[in-house]
Amino acid sequence: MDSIFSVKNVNLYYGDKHVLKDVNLEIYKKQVTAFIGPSGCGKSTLLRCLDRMNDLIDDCKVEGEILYKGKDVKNYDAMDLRSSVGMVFQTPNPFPMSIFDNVAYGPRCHGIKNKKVLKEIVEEALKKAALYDEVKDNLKESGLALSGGQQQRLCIARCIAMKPEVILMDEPTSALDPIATLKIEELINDLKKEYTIVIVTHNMQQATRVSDYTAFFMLGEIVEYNKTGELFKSPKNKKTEDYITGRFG
Amino acid sequence: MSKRKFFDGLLNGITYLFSSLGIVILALIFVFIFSTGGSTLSFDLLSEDYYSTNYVVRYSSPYEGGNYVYSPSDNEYFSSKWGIALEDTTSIEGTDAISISYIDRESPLIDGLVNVSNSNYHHLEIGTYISTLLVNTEDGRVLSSSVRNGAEKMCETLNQAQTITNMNLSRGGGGIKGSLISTLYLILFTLILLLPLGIAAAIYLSICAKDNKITRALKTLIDMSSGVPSIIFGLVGLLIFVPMLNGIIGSDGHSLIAGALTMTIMLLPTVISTTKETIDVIPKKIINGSLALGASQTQTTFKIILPNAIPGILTSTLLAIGRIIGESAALIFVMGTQIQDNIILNQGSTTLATHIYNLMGLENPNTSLAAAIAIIILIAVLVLNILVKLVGLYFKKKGLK
Repeated sequence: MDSIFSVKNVNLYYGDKHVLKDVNLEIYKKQVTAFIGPSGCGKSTLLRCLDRMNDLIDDCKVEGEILYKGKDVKNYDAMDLRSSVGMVFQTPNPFPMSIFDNVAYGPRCHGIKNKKVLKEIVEEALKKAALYDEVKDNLKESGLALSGGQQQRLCIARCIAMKPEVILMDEPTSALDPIATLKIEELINDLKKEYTIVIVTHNMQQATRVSDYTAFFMLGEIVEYNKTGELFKSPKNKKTEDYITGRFG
Repeated sequence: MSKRKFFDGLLNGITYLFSSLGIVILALIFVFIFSTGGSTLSFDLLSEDYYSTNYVVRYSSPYEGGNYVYSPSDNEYFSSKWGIALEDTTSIEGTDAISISYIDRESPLIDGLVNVSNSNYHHLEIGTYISTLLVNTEDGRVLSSSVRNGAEKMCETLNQAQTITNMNLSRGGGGIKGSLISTLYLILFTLILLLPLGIAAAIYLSICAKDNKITRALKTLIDMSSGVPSIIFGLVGLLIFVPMLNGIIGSDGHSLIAGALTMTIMLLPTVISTTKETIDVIPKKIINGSLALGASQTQTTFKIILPNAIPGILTSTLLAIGRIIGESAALIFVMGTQIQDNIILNQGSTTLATHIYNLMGLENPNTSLAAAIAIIILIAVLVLNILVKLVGLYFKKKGLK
């Protein structure tokens, strides 16, 4: 299977703190990869390395190689990289503007001005994010007026509007109720036909429900990485087994 | 138990007493200002020049006298000999004056007076003030009368006159139009300089600058400088901006532009910190959301951060306008205290506040005009404060975050 990201010997430091230790990982195309592990184990940090959001943190130092489509992410222009690798955050963060403007924000920033083209992009993105039917009559209303789950789908639509290849999701359902969570999970299942998805989650059931591959992190290291079914059915490492059976963490 | 009650009651009583005292004093100040200046306040005050146009005229050919008819009202006095009615009144700025309230169409004065300075005939208009009068009678006596003697005496003097040797006339004057325009100009030019500088500095400090010792020192300095007394900024303006502008725009000492520059540096700390505070409370997740979509930092700044900082920018603008209207000490240094009717940017002029300073420094301080201007300033500041509240409410309703 084709891998889209290859993480090779990555070490990451926040100041003196060694957060990621010698991480190696392949992320496969059009698959859902889940990162699980206890809080503070570095799974979100690795996710942020993939679209270089860690650049925004002042004293963050990354060593090693992260290849995106064969080229080190450091050699990409950060803005190009981020338009091809989208990100959905832990809490929904729509911009304080209309639903339409929220989705059109990314394309506009990349120079698309034609109203007709923008309208098509927005409609398509909203449809793919399974939000179109709910908001099609009030695209001019503020994105903030939507419910939490709708806001998160709006954020996903905003991401899709950039026509990315990869969508990174950092605990996308942790602030949502079970029904909204279910909708997002269904959406992930739809989206993986077109996009590579990497999802960080605290919820192991969610990992089993949505992901094809799972990486288990502990203290900045990848303890085990395997197909989701195998990892949960027959973990090879004692620590993984302890974690997924709820004996600690 | 009763002891505690006693002390509680005592302390509460003191609190109520002092708070009511403070409120009463404030109310008294307002009552005083409104009662002193209220009668002087009028639309004419706002639209009229400060300096009157003065004429000295004479009527030298001996006049026999006519028999004009007019029925004067209570405070009017009519000279049937000259066909002119005089009236005791107050000028726009609230001082005593005698004005011409009626001229008969046949009156010799209407077009017969000769301007002393250029020997042209002077066309007399209703509403002109007469300040002094010097006449010769038929039997060769010289009589004089002035504003202080009132319209009745002035009218009697006129009735006995055969020739008018000297009559001082004035039209208009006493208004604050010049100071009002100067204040508006000062606000405009200060904001033009202040807002870009302040907003850019705020963006730099809260977004671009690395969080290190230098940045923190800068922030502390800016916070501290908002407490510097304005007269020190005035001094800086006088010593730096005034000589600098003399060289650049060819001003001669005081100038409105120097005032705008001084106000700009005086208000920069306030604008920077207010804007910075609004930028700092914009949720980080929204900014990151924009960056994660591949928008550049600049795009994020202009499309996400600035629009969300508008409430803060508006608030600081309104507060700055209030400070400019109320500022006097610094402006006396850099704009001078010479009242002007025509505002020229590279010349000194007075704002409303320094107009008051000028008035109260005169030989006979004109308190009623000063109080009238004070009312205008108070109303402007009040309106600005209400606007600040409304801006806050409006954006709270719109609900960011």
